[in-house]
Amino acid sequence: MTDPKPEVLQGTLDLMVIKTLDAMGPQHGYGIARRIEQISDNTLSLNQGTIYASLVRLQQRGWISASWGVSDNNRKAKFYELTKAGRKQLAAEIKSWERTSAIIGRMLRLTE
Amino acid sequence: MLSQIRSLLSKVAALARREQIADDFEEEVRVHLALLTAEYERRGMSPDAAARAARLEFGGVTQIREQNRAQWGFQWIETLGQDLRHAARLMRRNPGFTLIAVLTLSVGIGLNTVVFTAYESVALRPLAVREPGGVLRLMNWFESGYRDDEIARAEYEFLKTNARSFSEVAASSAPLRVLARGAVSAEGEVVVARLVSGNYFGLLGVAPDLGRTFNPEEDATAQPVAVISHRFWKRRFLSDPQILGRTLLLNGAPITFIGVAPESFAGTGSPPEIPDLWVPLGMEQQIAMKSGIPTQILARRKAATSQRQVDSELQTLQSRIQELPVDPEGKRGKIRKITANQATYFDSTGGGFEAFQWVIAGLMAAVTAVLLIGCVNLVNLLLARAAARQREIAVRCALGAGRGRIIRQLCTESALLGLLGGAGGLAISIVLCRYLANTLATELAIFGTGADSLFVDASPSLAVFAYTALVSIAAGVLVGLVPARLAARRDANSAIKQETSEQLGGRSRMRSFLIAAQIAACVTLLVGAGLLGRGFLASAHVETGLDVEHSIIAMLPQAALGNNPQQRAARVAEVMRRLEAIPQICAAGRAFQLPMMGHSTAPFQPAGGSIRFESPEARSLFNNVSPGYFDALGIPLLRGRSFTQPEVDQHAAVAVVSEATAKRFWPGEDPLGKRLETPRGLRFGHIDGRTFTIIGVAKSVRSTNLSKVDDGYVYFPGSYDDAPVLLVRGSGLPATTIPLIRDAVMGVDRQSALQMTVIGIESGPIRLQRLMTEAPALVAAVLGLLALALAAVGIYGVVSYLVAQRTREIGVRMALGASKRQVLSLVFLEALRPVMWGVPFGLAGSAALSAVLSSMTVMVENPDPLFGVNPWSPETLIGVVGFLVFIVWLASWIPARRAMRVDPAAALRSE
Repeated sequence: MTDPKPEVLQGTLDLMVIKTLDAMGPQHGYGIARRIEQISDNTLSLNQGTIYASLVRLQQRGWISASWGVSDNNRKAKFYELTKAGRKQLAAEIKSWERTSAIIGRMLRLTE
Repeated sequence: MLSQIRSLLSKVAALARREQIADDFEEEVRVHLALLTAEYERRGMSPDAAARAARLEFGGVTQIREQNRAQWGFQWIETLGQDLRHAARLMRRNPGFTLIAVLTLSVGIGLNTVVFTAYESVALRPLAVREPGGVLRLMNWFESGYRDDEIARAEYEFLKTNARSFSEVAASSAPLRVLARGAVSAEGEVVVARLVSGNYFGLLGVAPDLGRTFNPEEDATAQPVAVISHRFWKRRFLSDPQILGRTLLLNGAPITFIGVAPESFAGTGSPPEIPDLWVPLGMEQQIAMKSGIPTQILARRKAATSQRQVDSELQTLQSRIQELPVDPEGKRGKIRKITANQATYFDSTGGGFEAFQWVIAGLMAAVTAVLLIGCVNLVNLLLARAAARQREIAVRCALGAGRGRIIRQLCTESALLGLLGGAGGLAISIVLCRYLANTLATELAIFGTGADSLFVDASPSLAVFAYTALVSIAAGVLVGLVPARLAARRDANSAIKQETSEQLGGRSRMRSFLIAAQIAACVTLLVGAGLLGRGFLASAHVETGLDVEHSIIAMLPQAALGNNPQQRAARVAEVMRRLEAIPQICAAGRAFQLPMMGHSTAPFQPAGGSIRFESPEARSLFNNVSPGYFDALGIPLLRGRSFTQPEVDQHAAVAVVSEATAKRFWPGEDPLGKRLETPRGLRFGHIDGRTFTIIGVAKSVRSTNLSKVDDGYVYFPGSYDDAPVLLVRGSGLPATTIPLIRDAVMGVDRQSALQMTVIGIESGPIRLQRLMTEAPALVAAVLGLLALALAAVGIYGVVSYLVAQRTREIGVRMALGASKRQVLSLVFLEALRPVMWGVPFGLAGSAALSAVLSSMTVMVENPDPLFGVNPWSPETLIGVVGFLVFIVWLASWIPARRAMRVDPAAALRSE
């Protein structure tokens, strides 16, 4: 028996999506999902469909934009792209995430 | 925060293309699954296994689709759509119910909208100028309590150069009546002109419909040009497009038309009396025959300046303005403050405005009561319907609809009713407002009120639409909420099994409470209507004490009499002399205040008496009259004599008092020869701070208000320099006397005779006063009867329902030998119980109303809307309650008769 795969928190998934778009440039939903799985070495419990909730939320906030294009293997697909506001948000999210994880880390070390 | 707003906006934007978004999403999911399947196939799976694995990896497609739709907020709109469709279907299925509900709401909302429109068009509507919020009108307030918006020119010039918070300052004179000849008619007619500074139209940003407006040079160099009002253009020139360049002789001088003002522009006067023309202020010598006439001051506030900055600057400038050399005699008194508030159609700082607000508040309370009574009926109807729909609702609950969902659906239904009612109400209000505005214009235009030139725009504005929409939705939801909550509270299980009994107790308590509230509102409205109605009845056979049948008011046009005050006075004196020589004319007189058309009040004190200026009894009406005044109006002198002409000319220290004043100041004594002191600071009539000897006692009459005998009256020998108005009493009726007066004036001055206004006291001012009594009584009666009709319908509905519930019980009673009479009284008493609960609250409401009505008549000069009917008299209350009981009896009679026809055997079997 392996360890159960960790669940993904909602806000975390949003951060993962914009970071992926930042790193890879415009990408379709499948591509983003694959990338997140690869990075996590398939250790995350994530239905690929879940990603769409995140994509809609980010679009509504104006952090990403979507347009139809053609994928590598000549299929029509919707491509998502980070907007200027999204890039700014990413920087802010990273900073906030680092602060949070640093606090949690200190906390855990303290109680060890 | 920002991202939340953006998110909301994108959701709203998405609503329009929600099918596109849904299609896109389907496509996206299909592509995703295809890519994923291809990946699994690449890893060596069979196509079937790959597709299965892809679906597993992707997660529940349906759930994700639902989630997507929820994220875009489509569910919400779709539910609303469903609810609306369902509601519309139900309405079509019950056309009778829908019609009653919508009509009830329409009437209530319509009346509310009428009152709001009246308030909005008077108090809230901005002038039809560019950026009306920045256009301010100045007002001087004096220590004496007097206030004036006709301000000396020195102050205007001072503000123009010194006030920093205004970008521009303009002036506009009061309306001036001027004799015009030429383009209008050869005989000439009186037109109303306002003199305005050259920048007036520019400051307001009013562009002409035709031609152009003034430029400042035309004002500075006194060019004879005029902008004419749209109304005058239409009335006098039939909207002639060739009007520009034509001339008119104003006081004999030619003036050229250069532009036509837009129809929406009513000038800046308050009240909004539309002039016929605007002429540059530089022309004042020609038009007003004077120079340096006081004007209204208008200012445009600088864009970056706040109202507070304006106020504080005016406060700073006030002491310098006080020092301006406008008032060498110090008559004007000390300025308390100078204000500059947004210019509106009606001045919102005046006492008249306060009275208007009270009237509106009273009307608003009354029409809201009617609306609420109507709503209560609907609540009852909906309650009954909810009972009938219990099964439907229970089934919905059982199928998984949440309570909130059920309430929302029921509220959507009633909100739709509300909106339909609102649409009907708006239609009613538009028709009613137009009718009322027309009536007002024609009825008030009868005589010298100037109302014919008033600008009344009662068309609904955006604010009116918003108000109506708000009221309708509020009424709809309010009406739906109570039944919806009750319906949703029920336990699905028992409802499906049609166990109806246990909830009914609670529901009928609610109904009784609602009926009681209706009755309370009804009693208050009816008592109001009853009191005003009794006042109206009393007004029909009121004795004024004046010879109203034979007395006539003749107003000579000041402009036509000439520019020179001495010349004017001589001409009026000549007319008087000629009138007195005519045998069919018994008497002619003059007065500062005309009967039923105005009043002056001041405190007076008897020399050496106990009543001082400060005491409330000292306050009395007064007038300045000519020797013939008493005879011209037919007021009998009980003691002593009237004034003589030399006494009038010399402003002699003699006075005549009314019987009431004599009794109050010198009770039990002979008033002749007694002395009366007047206070300091009375501005006119040469009566300021003097002591007068009483030479006569006149009978107490109703000369100020038709509704009550003048509480106290002091007559001083006349001084009425400027107003060429004559009071004439003939031996025949006005129809025969009026031509005699015209002839007499014709002999002195032809123009004056053509232009003068002559009308009998009965058909002029008294008719106007009667109208002022009839209108409120009529409104109150209509509202009261409407409320009663609504309440009666409500009682009928509830009693029918109760009787239907108790059919079995009644059957049993009758089987056991109860008489029809006993059954009838059982039903009637049942119906009467909530009514009796409502009556005390209604009585409390009417007591408050009576207190308001009786407080209105405290001031000597105020009219008494009840014409002497005591607002506390029990007759009205007894009458109203008796009437209500009768209506309740009527409303319960029909259901009771139905109950008595019940066959006892059938009733027993139905269980």
